Amino acid sequence: MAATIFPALIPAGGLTLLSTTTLSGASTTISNINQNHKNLLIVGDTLNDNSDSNSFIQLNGNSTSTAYQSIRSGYSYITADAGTQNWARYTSISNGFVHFLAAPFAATTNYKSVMWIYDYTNTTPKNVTIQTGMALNGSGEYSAMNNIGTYEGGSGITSLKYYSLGSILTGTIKIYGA
Amino acid sequence: MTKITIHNVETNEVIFREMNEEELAEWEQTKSQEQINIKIEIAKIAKRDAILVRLGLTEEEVLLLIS
Repeated sequence: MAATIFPALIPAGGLTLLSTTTLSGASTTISNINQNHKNLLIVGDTLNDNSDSNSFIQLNGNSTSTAYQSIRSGYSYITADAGTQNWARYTSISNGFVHFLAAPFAATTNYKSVMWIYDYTNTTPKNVTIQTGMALNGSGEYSAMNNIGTYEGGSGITSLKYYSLGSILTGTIKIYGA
Repeated sequence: MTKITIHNVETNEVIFREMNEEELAEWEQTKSQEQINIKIEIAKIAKRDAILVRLGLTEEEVLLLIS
């Protein structure tokens, strides 16, 4: 029988909303995350910042970039008209904090980023994160990003810090346990 | 000064305050590191685009070639 790479994503009990946090300042830390679940689903809603989508998540306040390994791919600034090839496609493998896309410059439409953290209380193996998000900039251009990564901080995840390279304008983060 | 929010979701206490010196130093270091990472990614895209121009290929033609 093939080995199971990921634990079951959503167990029989379904999703439980653990917290809702309104974002503000240069960064918002969500601490003392409930440790009674297997996986975490992080949902960012109406994320707007003033730094052109450069927003990130750090786990457990760990600011060592080499603790984070990710493969990310995305599209930067695609116009809504598919016939206009004004875009750049990219793929990169890098150390760095989890990119958690926000819509820059107070876009009028709401965009979401979501991220799964598997086996978040386990202290030994790497926690695998999968993140995806989409945003719209002030020129009506879209960007999208997908990350698959590991966190090698060596401890279970009890807090996360959302931050923007500029400042946060709007947004909420909901954390669900599964 | 730069403000931060800390939400303890166990007690639901929310603190909104200025960064202390240590937090501010770490914040500045994090920002400069991320800005370097972004510049590296942008440089990679520019290099790839320059190669495409040199070869006279569009992005769609490259996708067809590697599909």
